[in-house]
Amino acid sequence: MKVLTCPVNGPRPIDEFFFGGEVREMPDPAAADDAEWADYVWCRQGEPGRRREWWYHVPSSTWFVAERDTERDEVLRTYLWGQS
Amino acid sequence: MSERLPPQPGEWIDRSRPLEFRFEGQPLRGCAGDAVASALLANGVRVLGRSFKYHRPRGLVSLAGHDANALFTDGARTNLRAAGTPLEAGMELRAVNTVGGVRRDRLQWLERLARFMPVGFYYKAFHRPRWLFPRFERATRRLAGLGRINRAAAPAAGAGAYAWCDVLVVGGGPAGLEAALAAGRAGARVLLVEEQARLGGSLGWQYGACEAARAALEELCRELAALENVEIRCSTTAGGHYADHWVPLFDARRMTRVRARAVVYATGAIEQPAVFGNNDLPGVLLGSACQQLVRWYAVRPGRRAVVLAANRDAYRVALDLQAAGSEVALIADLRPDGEPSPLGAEAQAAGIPVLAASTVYEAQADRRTGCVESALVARLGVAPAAGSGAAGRAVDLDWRARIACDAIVLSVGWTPNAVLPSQAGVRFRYDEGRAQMLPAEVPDGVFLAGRVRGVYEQEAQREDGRGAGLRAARAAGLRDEQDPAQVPVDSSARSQPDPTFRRPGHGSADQALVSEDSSASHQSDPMVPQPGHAHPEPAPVPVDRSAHSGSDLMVPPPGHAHPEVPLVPADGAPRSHPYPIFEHPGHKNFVDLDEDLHLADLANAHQEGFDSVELLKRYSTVGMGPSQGKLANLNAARVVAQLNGHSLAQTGTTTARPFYQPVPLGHLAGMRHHPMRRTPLHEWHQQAGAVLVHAGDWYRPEYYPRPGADRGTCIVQEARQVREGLGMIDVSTLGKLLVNGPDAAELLERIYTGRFKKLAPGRCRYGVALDESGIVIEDGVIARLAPDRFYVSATSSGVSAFYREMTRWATIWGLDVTLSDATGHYAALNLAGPHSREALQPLADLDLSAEAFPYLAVAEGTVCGVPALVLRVGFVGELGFEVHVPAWHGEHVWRTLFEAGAEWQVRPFGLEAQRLLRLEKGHLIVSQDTDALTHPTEVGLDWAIGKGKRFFVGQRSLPLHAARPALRTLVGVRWPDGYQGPLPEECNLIIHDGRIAGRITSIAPVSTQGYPLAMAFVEPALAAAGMRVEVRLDDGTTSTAEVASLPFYDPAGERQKL
Repeated sequence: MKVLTCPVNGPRPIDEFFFGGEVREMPDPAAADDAEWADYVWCRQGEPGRRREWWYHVPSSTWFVAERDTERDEVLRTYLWGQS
Repeated sequence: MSERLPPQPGEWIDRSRPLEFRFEGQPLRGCAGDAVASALLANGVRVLGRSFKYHRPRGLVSLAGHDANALFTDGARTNLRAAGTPLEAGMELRAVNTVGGVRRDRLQWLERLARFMPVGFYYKAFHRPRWLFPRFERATRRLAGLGRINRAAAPAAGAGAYAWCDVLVVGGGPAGLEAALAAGRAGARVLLVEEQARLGGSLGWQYGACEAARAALEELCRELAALENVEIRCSTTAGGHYADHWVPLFDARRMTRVRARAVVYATGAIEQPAVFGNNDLPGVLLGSACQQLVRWYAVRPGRRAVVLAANRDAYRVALDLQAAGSEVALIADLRPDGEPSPLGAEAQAAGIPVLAASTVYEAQADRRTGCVESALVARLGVAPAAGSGAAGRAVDLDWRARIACDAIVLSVGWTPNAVLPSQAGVRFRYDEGRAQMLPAEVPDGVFLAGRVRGVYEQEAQREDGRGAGLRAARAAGLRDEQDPAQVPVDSSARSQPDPTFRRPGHGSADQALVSEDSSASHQSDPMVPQPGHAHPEPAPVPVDRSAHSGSDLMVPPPGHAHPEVPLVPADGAPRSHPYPIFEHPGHKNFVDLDEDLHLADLANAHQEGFDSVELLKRYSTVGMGPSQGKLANLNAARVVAQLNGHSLAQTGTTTARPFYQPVPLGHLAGMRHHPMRRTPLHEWHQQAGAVLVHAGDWYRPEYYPRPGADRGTCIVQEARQVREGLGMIDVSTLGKLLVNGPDAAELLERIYTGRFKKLAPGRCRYGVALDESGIVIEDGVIARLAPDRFYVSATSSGVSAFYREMTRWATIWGLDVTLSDATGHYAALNLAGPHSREALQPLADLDLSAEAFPYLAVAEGTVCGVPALVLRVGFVGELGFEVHVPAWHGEHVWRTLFEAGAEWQVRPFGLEAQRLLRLEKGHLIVSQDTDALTHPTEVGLDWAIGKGKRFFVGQRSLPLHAARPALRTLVGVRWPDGYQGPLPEECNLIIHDGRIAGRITSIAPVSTQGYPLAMAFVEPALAAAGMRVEVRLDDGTTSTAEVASLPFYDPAGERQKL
């Protein structure tokens, strides 16, 4: 079982985490056209490589960002939203 | 005939504790400490099993559990391996794959059909006629059976356990022991696991004849025992290596999952057999097995042995055999010049005949016993055999001799026990010079020591172990104890200078290996990686410890050359023969004993085009038996390489997967336990005789049975009592979220479709939440207690996910809001019915009058003397009050209200009555009456969407839904008054014009309205009230129903506003 480092709680077994998908920026709903909006809602970048992902530490209710190399299956770093 | 030797120094058996047991009915006697295999061999039993396909007699090959020749059942357990299973008193053992016992297996005739069972025959035969195939399959399984499971036997496994350590050391041989000691002395918390019953590894069985080695082993064990931070587990197998050093350990009782910061694999090497004619006869066994039999169990492996040798280890075996009272008739050495080390001369001085450049070509069986009675030895020619490399030579049959013997002992080479390291990410590469696999790349946190990385001799193994242990401790974050002045030096007399304390300038432990063997290295060193390697390691990088302070002696920086890559051959000549395969055309020459595969099978498979090892493995099943090819994969790869005319390095190896050894399924099974949540009123429900159901994670009362009434009647009675009098329901399972802070209203405004910023304190409102694609994901009641305090109820099953997503949005938007999931903190009950106000008012300190506390009011106050939140909601469509109190007051409040309600014949009602009542009111259940594609318009929730709102989640997607043609509408469906006919189930389809036009989402077969009613999705064309729809039932018949407008009950909503 993998270990993931929660920025608040430190390294914890992956069982304690929920995967929240790719970090995406919401386009301005008022300005975005339908195609742009649909792309935001439906399309995800699945190509292996360096990805920013949402992860959630369930017991402490902590959302954070993990930078992960999905090709090498390696977590590069984790940090709270708004930090970097 | 007893083969038990007189007491041997260091033996594992306890001669004072004899154990009686039976093998296939025959009473036998062993000792405590015996394995099943050693006890049988001590009694002269040599045929231990029958082979998988041909039912050939088989004996013991490896005592390390690397063959599956001998599998037993003791009645309760099955597939017990002879070598790994401790003997127990009263065992009734039988071999698993026989009919009538190993001696006279009635299936031995199967071998005569061998030519009809070529490799892969089961892929081709018996497929026509098709109906016959299952019969053939069943018959084949019976004939080639492994053990049968006794379902009546109690599972032996206990609950799994968890453990952690800084450094996990796998393997308790010289390298592992030193690694554990070094890591332990560095302060690491160490767990050392050894699959055998005792520590020692080769120190015990291979060097055990030498008193100094035995003393060294004792000393190591003593020193380890003195370290409190070192835990030792014997008879424990590491089963696999998973991500981030997560290793399952198996012992007789359970699986323990260990998390380690670093792992040292000192797993040793697996001795590899040679291939020649009839090489599977009982009596053909490995040299290591002979030594283990003698040292561990004091059992004579044979009376007269022929040793097939290709390394110096064979000579030790021969000398040990002789010392144990066996005659060594001949050492047949595959090498042209025999053994160059002093051991060669020692053997000759001991009077053991040695014949260089020769091989055993055929094992010959005694007709009666089926065991080895002689070996046919032949000279090897000078010419290399085609494709077998320089060292593989053709058999020269002009010179041959038949030598009577009862044991043919194989000691022709080793392969690293790479199963676990490979799973850990270590890449092994075949080294032509040493004719064996060697580690080439090692990932962080994994360390190899001893024979698994090609370090063979005792002192070098120990040195290697010390280095690996230290590096592992360092990788685990332990400070290096570099300064002897600050370290309490163990004064026990250790002959070796401890590398921990080596001063700068004297080199590290890694360097020590280099310098001690500098004579053999460098010029023609096959170990020096060639350019182009992924992680080239051109030269050892000495760690200059003097330059480091304690804190930065941690993990080496990325890209640091890894010291695990073998740098130099630590000792002398290769231990492995490159091609110990000598095909006898007149016999079967076995490559895989588990699967009964011989050279001709592999050649046939190759001819059929399966010319890569991975393909060949799958087609021929080589390496797929219980021992997973530990004795077969290397030789199979050699054969494939030869057939392809490739090198072994080009040929590669198959993937080693968990588990390292077979594991009883019971050890893997989880506990038969699913944790369920109970409401604070659970005991009351039980006392009231409620039928409890699983509702998500919760136990909820389904209904409360009454004598003389069936389930449906009880449910309707409960519902009717709510409509006409007074009912109470436990709604503690409701999700309860506290949303507090200056931005609480802003958050709810953005999460829910409705308007909440303008919601007045003291009021509550129904809310619907969507996901970003505009799909309904949640509904609930949002109560505003104060301008900055909200109490949000959510669906029982959805609250966790909803809370999580609310938290994410609050994080992303950076809102000043505190969210907490208080679901378990409060007990909640709903008091519903025309008399609910009368019942509750005397017990509450709030004015509950219609004027002071109208529909959708909320207030904090006191109920039954405890702090409570009271909401006036139309939960079931009647006048009703939802009372939330701290969980520990729940039962008191419930009981008090229940007693007060007796005046109105209050009845508790369960989940079914609740669903019926809500269905009658047309209240949908999110995820029951909606699905993953349901947008608000489809289910009549447009009214809940705030018009002109600036933003809410999913808002932008709604116009996109609206622009598409409507596909379905949620409607009410009813049957005639008093209808008694068949009814659909939820999810039964509505058929119109022969096509699917909808489905039932919820149904109440009986209702307070006197007719069955349901909700259903239908095509918009069918959605008008009065339309007749056909519902197809499970049995294929149809039932006709009528679309009805929702709600079925009290359309004006007057009842709940009383």
